[in-house]
Amino acid sequence: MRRIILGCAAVCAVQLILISLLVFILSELMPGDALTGRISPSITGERLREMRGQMGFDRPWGARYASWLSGIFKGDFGVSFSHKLPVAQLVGEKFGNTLLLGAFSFLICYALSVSFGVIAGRYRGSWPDRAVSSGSYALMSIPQAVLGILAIFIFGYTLKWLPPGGSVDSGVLGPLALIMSRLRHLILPALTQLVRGEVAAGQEAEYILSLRSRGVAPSRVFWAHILRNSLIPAMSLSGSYLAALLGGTALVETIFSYPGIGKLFVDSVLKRDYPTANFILLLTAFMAAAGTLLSDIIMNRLDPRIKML
Amino acid sequence: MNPPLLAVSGISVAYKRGLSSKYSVQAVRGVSFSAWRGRTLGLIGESGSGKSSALNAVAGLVKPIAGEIIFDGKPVGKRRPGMSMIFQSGAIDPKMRIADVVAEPLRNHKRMPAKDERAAVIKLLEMVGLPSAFMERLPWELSGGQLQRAGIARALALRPSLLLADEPVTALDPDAKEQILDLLARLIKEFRMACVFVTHDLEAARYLCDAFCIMQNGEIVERGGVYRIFNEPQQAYTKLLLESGAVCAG
Ligand SMILES: Nc1ncnc2c1ncn2[C@@H]1O[C@H](COP(=O)(O)OP(=O)(O)OP(=O)(O)O)[C@@H](O)[C@H]1O
Ligand SMILES: [Mg+2]
Repeated sequence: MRRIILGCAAVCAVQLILISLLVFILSELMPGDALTGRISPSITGERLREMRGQMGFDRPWGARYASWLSGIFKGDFGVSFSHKLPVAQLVGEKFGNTLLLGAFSFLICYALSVSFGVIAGRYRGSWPDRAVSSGSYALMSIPQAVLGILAIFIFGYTLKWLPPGGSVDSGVLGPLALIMSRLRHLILPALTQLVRGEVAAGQEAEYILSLRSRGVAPSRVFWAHILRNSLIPAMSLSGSYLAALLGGTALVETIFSYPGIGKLFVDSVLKRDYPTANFILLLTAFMAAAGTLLSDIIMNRLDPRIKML
Repeated sequence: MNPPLLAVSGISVAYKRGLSSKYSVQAVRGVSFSAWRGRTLGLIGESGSGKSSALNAVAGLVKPIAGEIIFDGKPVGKRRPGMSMIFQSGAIDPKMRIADVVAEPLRNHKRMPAKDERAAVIKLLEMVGLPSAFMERLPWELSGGQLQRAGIARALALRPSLLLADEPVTALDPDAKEQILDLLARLIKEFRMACVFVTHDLEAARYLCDAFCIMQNGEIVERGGVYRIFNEPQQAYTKLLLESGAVCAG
């Protein structure tokens, strides 16, 4: 187990370095730099060169990348160009927000998808099954921005859960919108149908028939055997779902001005603040890798057939 | 002749499909057969002829819409501990250790100290020719034939008088198939069990059975002793079945 985790970490490290290199090159290819758009048009060429020199932009990108990379290994992630703050501190503040939202919507989504999947699978062909299937497909086909606006309408306008006075506090709306848009991502064919299929197939498995033929109580057959075995695939996906939730927040956070790393990332790219953008990308890639590893570990725990060593 | 252990008379099995509350598939239509201790009855027929449905009705897995099942002189109830069923695979929960698999019927029906239970499991495994070292194993660590043996050991745990077997050797390779058929024949004799053996494999059926019921389309179209069926089939369908089964009469 230890060896596997170390091996995976090594692979991830290489991947992360490649990703960061790619990001560095891409930000190099974009027109302009962190100074573009922040300087007055009347500035002299002399002064501009001086400023660029101060920020190190006169050095070739390879050299800048090398010093950025060596800084990372020393735990120094650089200083944000636009916020003039250490990147780690800047991102750290926002990361908590994203993590909280991600974890919360993950729990809601998982609970809903799994319950719906179980109900649909248990009563396959019945009306609850049809409702779940068509509902999840419908949800999937709605764009997440529309769902977000719908969330504002429902929670902010109709239910009035938000501060009165007509002021739209986007900081509060963000979470709701984000969760709504995540529902689209998770309560769908992907997870719901997976669970549904597993439960439905599980009910017809020979070992289930065999338990029933021995007069084992139906509730016990369902909870201890059908359900337990059909949740393994869903559980094994949880790590990567969690990672995907944390990673794919840029759009929603931006639309609803939620102070998380997704919005910070978009802002940083727009401002050519590549130390920040690069660090967020690294963090997201790291989360994705960690999520996948987590899935493998969970899978290994739940299903003895999968041996990692 | 002494009375049969199992007497099935005129049972019909039908299934509903989807949302409808009407029966749309009639799988078994008024089928009757009997089974005696120490003897094996073969339910033979092509795929979809209703063999499994008839057997499942006896086991209590489906409720027949008509007919009567008398077991050991009494109409069957909800629980049927005197019967045991085996399936195409070992029918084993993939996450249970073999020891727990075999002990499960014991745990459900009577409490016994762990030491006695262990001894009982070892004895059952021995009966089916599995070493006691297999107790700690998980299903995926066993071959198909070994899984079937474990399934048989579990079926024997409560010392049933009736063994219901649904295609128990169909999924096995020829070697394993022969061994399992041998084992079944030996156990049926040793415990004087009655056995209903469902298969479309004529070779296996001839090896194990004393009498056949030939099923077609949910009905029994011909019945009789094995020798008679093989040598003087009356029905065109039976002749066809024998020819397609490529088993020479003997
Ligand atoms: N649970 C079910 N729901 C609906 N129809 C069913 C169900 N089980 C069986 N049937 C139908 O009943 C008929 C008889 O099926 P059954 O499984 O009894 O046949 P079989 O002789 O055992 O076939 P096989 O050799 O393929 O196992 C088939 O037409 C089948 O499609
Ligand atoms: Mg069948």
